[in-house]
Amino acid sequence: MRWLIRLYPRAWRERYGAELEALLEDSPPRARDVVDLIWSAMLLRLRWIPLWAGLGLLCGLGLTFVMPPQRVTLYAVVFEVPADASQLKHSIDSSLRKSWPTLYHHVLRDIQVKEIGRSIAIFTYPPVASRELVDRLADQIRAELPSEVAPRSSVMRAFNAPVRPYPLLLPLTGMGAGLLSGLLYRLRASPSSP
Amino acid sequence: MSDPTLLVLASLAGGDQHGYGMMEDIERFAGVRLGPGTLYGAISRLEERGMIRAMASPDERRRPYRLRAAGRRHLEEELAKLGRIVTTGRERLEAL
Repeated sequence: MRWLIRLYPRAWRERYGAELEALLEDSPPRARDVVDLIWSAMLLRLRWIPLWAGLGLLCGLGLTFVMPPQRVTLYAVVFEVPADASQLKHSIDSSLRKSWPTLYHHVLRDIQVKEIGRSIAIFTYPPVASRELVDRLADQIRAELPSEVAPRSSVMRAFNAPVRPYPLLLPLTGMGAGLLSGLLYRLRASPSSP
Repeated sequence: MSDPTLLVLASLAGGDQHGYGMMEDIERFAGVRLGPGTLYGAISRLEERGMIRAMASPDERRRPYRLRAAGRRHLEEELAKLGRIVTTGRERLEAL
């Protein structure tokens, strides 16, 4: 049954290995004890892994704040909506899909329709889509929208907005890196051979 | 009461014991047979938290453990909580 004890981390084994071995001599293990020993060894080996992953996540999150924000120029058409912005957003979404089905397929991926309070904003990221394209889209939407939800006015604005770099990707990558580092560290620090 | 650390503390409240002794004792008073991995996992956690300590013994492979003051306090607190649950449960069952 020594192989079972070798499953435990080295430091733990050095402290409790001999005692556990004596216990197994005094009380020969049954099948479920073997499962219990393997499970306990696994828990001990993975004990600090969530901490490593958490630290990685925090590092990644910290990086998104430490790294200088990227300046992204956005073109946007903002429709001031009298009421029910969500209904208008839905209409604009379907209008975009219906009117620009293939020609601007690659462009439409980079156009976002956002509901902001009582306004609807259509953003686009140059150079993928130009200010002119947004203008044309806005004209078309204005013409197609039913009169009861038609916007009162529209304003073209060019933003030079600060954007946090990779707000999701960096923390997730950090967590993955932490997880991997933790596993590698555990494997290196506690080889299964005595 | 199936938390292995509490079972170990309750066992050591009866006096110093080594691993096998604790296993037998717990089976006797709680009707639960702790697996060897679970038992030593609980022992190592309790020793790390300063609730029990290993005593010197001529047989280094069968060292007895002793309850420390922190372990005794923790056991008392946990038993008080369990006591409240038992009392409430009984009262409610009787009222049914």
